Amino acid sequence: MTALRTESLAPHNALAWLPGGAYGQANVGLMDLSKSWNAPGYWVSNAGSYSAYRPVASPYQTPEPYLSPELEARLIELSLLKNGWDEGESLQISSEAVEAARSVLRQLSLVRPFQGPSIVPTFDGFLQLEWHNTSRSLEFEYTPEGWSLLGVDSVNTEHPHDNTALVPLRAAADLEPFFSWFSTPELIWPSR
Amino acid sequence: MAFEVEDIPGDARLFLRVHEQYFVPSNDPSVKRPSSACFKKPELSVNWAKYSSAKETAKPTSAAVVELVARECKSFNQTVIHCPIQDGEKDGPNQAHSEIRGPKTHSTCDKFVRLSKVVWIRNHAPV
Repeated sequence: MTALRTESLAPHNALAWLPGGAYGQANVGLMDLSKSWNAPGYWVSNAGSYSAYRPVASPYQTPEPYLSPELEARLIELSLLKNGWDEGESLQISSEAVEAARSVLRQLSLVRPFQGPSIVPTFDGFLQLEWHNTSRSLEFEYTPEGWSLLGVDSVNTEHPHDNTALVPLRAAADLEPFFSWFSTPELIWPSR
Repeated sequence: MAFEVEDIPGDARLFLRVHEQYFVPSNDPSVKRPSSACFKKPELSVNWAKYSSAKETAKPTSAAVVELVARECKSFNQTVIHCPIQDGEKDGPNQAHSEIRGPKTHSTCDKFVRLSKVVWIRNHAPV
């Protein structure tokens, strides 16, 4: 059986496209791949078997922002919603919101480990990206004024602590520290 | 006969349908929860449990129905109003129809998530 190669185990001397399927049943190695999907150099898990593949970047190349087919498909799905999609007064999702989300997700794909968010529409024609783990939640809501951020630290389940921020829409790179906050429990909420 | 508007007591249970677009994986990926986006409308339509059930609240596009308690909604600057829909009106008749009204910030919506309890999931027995 061929051992699964994660990004950190892979040889960093070539740009290689590794075929999927052949590595099913492989060991997980250094990270829980079921929770770290859709990033360059990562295997994509599908019900325990590794059926998709990602390029492994060479150290001689600058990592490229990347948007997985799954996330791209979700954005397209949201962009196709019509007015009244919730059987109420909801508006179709603005193309500006979809494009902004695409830009942010590509930027965040450079942060390790990257975990794809849930992407949900909002009734007023925008969208929201959200991540949840056992100790923290992070939400980026697109608004015309900027990205409305909410980070909830729920280690103390009796009194979860809310953190908020507003990040300009054109400052996608400024969202990276907040995403790192979510995936690194030791970090405190970034100040702006 | 027209439905009368009643005062909703603090201990009243309110059912909110969760559209399939709003039902997302929680911190346990095998368990779903409503997104905070589900609670964002300034006038949030719910059904008062006095006149409806969770199952009756669901629509074909609902993934789930959650329960809220009126008193808890009021605790963060919301008002809970009984506004029954009469026969002949759009989406009527619905004697249970009520609204949770008030500004809903991002943090407020998240509080709604924490206070809500999933009481019906499509294709599952009531929980």
